[in-house]
Amino acid sequence: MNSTFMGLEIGKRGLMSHQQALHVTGHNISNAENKEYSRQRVVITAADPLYIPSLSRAETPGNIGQGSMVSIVERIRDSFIDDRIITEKNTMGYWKARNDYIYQIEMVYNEPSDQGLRSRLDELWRAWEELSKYPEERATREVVKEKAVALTNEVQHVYKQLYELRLSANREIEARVNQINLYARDIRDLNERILKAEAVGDNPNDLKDKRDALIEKLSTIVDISVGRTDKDEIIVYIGSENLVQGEVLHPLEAVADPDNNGFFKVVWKKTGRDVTYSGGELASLVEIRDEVIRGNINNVNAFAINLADLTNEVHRDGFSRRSETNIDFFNHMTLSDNVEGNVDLNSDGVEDVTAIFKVAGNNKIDASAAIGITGTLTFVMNNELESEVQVDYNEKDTALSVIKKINDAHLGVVAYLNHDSQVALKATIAKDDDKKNFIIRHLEDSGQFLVGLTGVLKQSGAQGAFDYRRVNDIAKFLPEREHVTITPKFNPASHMAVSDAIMNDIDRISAAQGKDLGGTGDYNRTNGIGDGSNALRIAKLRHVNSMVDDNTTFNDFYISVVSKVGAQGEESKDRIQNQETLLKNLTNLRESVSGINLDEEMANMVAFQHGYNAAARVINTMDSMLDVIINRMGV
Amino acid sequence: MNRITNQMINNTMNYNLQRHQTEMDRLQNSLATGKNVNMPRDNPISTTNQMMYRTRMTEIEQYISNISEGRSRLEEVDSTVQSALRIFQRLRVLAVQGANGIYSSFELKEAAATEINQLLEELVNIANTKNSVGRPIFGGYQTGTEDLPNPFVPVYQTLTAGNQGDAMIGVEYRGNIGEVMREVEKGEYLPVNIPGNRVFWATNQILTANKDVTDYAAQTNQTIRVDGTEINISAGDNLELIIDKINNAGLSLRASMGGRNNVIIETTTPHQIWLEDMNGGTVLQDIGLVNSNFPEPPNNVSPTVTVNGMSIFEMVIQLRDDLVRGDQELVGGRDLGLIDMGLENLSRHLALVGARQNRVDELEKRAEYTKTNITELLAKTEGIDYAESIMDFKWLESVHQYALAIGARSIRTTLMDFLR
Repeated sequence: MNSTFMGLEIGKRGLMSHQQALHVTGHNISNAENKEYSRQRVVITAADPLYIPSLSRAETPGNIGQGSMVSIVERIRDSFIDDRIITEKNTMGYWKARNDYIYQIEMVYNEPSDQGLRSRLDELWRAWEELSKYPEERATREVVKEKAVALTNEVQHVYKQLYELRLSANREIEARVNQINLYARDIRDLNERILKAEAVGDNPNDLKDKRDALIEKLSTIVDISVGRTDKDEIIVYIGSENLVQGEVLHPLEAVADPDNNGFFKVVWKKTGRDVTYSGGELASLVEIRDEVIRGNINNVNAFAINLADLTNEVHRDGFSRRSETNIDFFNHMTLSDNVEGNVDLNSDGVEDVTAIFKVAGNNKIDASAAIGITGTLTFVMNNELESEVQVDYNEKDTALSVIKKINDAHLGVVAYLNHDSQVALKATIAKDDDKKNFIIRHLEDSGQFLVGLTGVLKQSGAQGAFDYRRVNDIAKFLPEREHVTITPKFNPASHMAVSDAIMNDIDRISAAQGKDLGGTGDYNRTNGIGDGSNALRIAKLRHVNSMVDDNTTFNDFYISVVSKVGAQGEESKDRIQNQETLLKNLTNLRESVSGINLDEEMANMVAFQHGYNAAARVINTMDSMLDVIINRMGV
Repeated sequence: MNRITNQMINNTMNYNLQRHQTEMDRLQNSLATGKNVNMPRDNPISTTNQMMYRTRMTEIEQYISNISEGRSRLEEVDSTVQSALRIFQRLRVLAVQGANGIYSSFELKEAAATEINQLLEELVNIANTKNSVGRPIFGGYQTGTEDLPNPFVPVYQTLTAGNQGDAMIGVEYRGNIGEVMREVEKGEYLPVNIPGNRVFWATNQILTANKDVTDYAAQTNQTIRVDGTEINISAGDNLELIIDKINNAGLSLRASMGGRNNVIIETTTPHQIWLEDMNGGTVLQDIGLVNSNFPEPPNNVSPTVTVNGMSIFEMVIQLRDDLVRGDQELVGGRDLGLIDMGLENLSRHLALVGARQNRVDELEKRAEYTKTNITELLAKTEGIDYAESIMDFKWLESVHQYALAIGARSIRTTLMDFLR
C-alpha cells in the first residue's frame, strides 16, 4: 500500500529539482561574461526508489520510483588545459616584461635619427676638422667646445636614463614579489575554505574557479607548477620548492644584495635561501636589470672613457693658441685619490688594489719591423677565475702582430699603437664585477718586448710584473706618472665632461703640434699657431681601431650596440606575437569546454521551465485526486 | 572544436580587429613620417645600414667642405704667385735695359733705383699677402701673431748711392716650413700651401761648413730634421753614414764631403735649406752647420758656414746695387741669369699649384659622386614606397570593414530573439 501523499511528494520533488536546475542555469547565464567562470551543470538523478528488499516491505510490485533529485552540481573544467595555459602564460610574462624594457632602451638610443649620440659624435669630428682649417681663429674653437659639450651632455643623459631604467626594474621586482605573496596567501585561504566545504560533501565550484584564476595570475609572474594528485592538498611549486602546500604558506622576500649594488634578490622568507626561478616576469626583470641594462650601461661607459682618454692623449701632446701644452680636453676623474692609483676596492678601510686604466710605453716603435726577440707575455683573464693566459712572441713577429695576438685573445687588455707610435695597453670592461671595470689586472714579460723594446715595464720576469692586487705597483711601470692613466671613477659616462681648463678658456684647445726640444719625451715647443695638425690628428681618431675588446672604431662600436638592442627588440616582438596566437588558441580550447553558450542555456531553461510546469501540473492532478477522496467521497 | 561559446566569438572578433588595427597604425606611421623604420626593432639590419650611411654622409660633407676651402686657398696662392711673376717681367725689362747701358746718367740711375725699390716693396708685400681671414699665406705655420704679423721682414739702411735714402738691404724669413693639410678622404691629405722660403727663392743654396770633422762619430741615438723630414742617427755613425742617410732621405738636396773634410749641403731645386736638431740632439751643431747659440730655425746657420745662394729679394737688391754702380756686364750676365732662374722657380711653383688644383677638381667630382650614391642608398634603405604602402593600406581597410560587418552579424542574434 502506497502512502496517500506519495504523489504530492513526487510532484514536489520534481518541482524542486527543476527549480534547482533553473537556479543553476540562471547562475550560468549571469556569469556568461565572467572570464574566470567554468560552467556548472546539475545532475538530476532519480530519488531512491521503494521498497528496499526487507521483511517489512509492502506487498506491492516495486520498485516504485520516488521522483527526482539533484545529486551533484558539476563543474566542467579540464585541468590539463589549465596546466598548459599556465606554462604559456609564464612564457608570455617573460617576453612581455622584456619587450617593455627593451623598447624603452631603444628609445633611449633614439636611432635611426639625427639626434642621437652617433650624430653628436659625427658633429664633433667635423668641428675638429674645421678647427684644423682655421686654428688661429676663436670661432672654430668655440664650435669645437660647443659640440663637445653637446656630446658629453648626451652621454650623461643616456647614462642617466639607462640607470633610471635599472632602478625601475629593481622596484618592479620588489612589487612583483609582494604580488606573489598576496596571491599565494589568497590561494592558501581558498584552499582552507575549499577543504572545509569538501569535507561536508559539497562542491565549492565558485571557490575553485577563484583559485584557478589566482594560479593563472601567479603563473605570469613566476614559473609555477601545480600538484593536484592529492585532492586534499593542492601544492603550488616554484621550481621544485613549495610556495603553498594546502594550508601552509612559504612566502618570499626581496632583500637588498650587498654584492649587487644593493639591488634586490629574491629569497624564501623563512630560510633566507635564494629562490630558483626560471621564467615569468620576475626572471625577465632580473635578467634585464642585471644583464641587459647593465651591459648597455657598461657599453656607454666604455665609449665615454675611451673617447675621452684617446682624445686627451693626443690633445696633451698639442699646443694651444698661447703655446701651452699638456692640457686635457676631457675631464678625467680618477677612482683613486692619490697619484699612485691605490684604491680600497672592497671597502674595508685598507687600500688593496692599484687601479690603472692605461699605460703607454716610452719608446717609439717601428710598427712593421721584425722585433728580433722572443719571450712570453703573461696576462690574467678579467673574469672571476682570473686564470693566467700566456701570449708568445718570437723574432719574426712585428709589433703589429704581437698587438694583434694580444687583442685576439680577448683577455680584458687591448693593445694599440698610439699617435706617437708608442705601444699602449688599456683595460676593458670586467666580466665579473663592475667595480673592476677598466683596471689592468696583470702584465708580465719573460723577455724584452714590454721592457726594453716598448718601454712599459722596468724589468722582465715575475719580479718586474705588474699586478693590480698589490698596492703601489705603479712603481713597476717605466713611463712617468703623467703617461700612466689611472682608472676612472665608477661609471665614467655619468661624469663625462669637457675639462674646466677648456671651458674657462677656449684658447687652450690645442690644435698645433710641436717638437720635443730637450729630449725629455715631452713636447715643449709649438710649430706655430697656424698649425692645425694636432686637430687633424684628433679627427683621425674616428678611423682608429682601438675601441674596447673588439678591434672596432667608435662608430662601429656604437652601431653594433644599437643593432644588438634592435635585434633583441625584434626577437621579443616576434615571440610575443607567437605567444598571443598560442594563448588565444588555448583559451579558446578552454572556453569550448568550460564556457557558457547562451543559446544552450536558453534551450536548457525552456526545457527546465517545461519540466517545472509539468511537475506543477502533476501536483495539481494529485491535488484534485485527493480532493475527490477527502471532500467528495462519502457525503 | 565541437562547442562554441559566445565569448569565443567575441574573442575571435576582437583579436582580428586588433590585428588589423595594429597593422593600420604601423602603416599610418610609415606614411606620415615617410620612413619604414621608426625603431631599431622594426628592422635591425636596416637600422645598422642607415646609421652607417648617415655617418658616411656627414664625413663626405666635411670632406667636400675641406676640398672647396682647399681650392680657394690654392687659388689665393696661384693669383699671388702670378702677381709676383708680373713684377718679375718688369724687373727683367729693367735688367735688359740696364745691360744695354740705357741708364748711364745719374738721374736715370736714380730713377731706376727708385723704381726697383718700389718693385721690391711690392714683392715683399706680395710675399706677405694675407688670405681671406687675414693670415699670411706664405708663412708655413707661423701665421701672423701680434709680435710677428709678417713672415717676410725687410731690413733697411740709409744708402747714399743713387740717392735712395732708406733702402732695403735684405729680407729675413721668419715663417717656417709647415705644410697645411686638408683631409680630403679617409686618410688622404692634400697640402694647400707652399712655404715662403721655397717660392721666393731664386737659386740653389749651398751650405759649406768650415769645420774639419774627419773623426766625428755620433755619441748617442739622435734625430735630425732636414727640410721637415726626420732622419735617425744611431750612436757611432760617422760622417759617411750621416751623409748617406741624408742623401737617401728623398729630399731635393745633396750632402757631400768637401776637400777639407767638411760637410757641404747643396739643394737640387731652389729653396732655403731648413735644418733642425731634434729631441735635444746636437749632431748638426757638432758637424758645424747649425749655430749652437741659436739652434732653432730659421736663420740658425752657424756664422762659420759659407752660404751661397739667394732669395729673390736678395737677387733684386743685388740687381739694384749693380744698376746703381753702372756695372753693365754684371747686370747683363749674372743678374739677368739670376732673374731667369727666379722666374723659372716661380713658374715651377705655379705649375705645382696648378697640378694640385687639377687634383682638387678630381677630388671634388669624386666626393660629389660618392655623396650622390650615399644619398640614394640612404633614401632606398629608409624611405618607403608610397604607392605600395597606400595600396597596402587600402587593402587593409577593406579587410577590416569585412571583419567588422561579419562580426556585427555574428554577435547580434541569440535564441532569445526567437523564443516567444
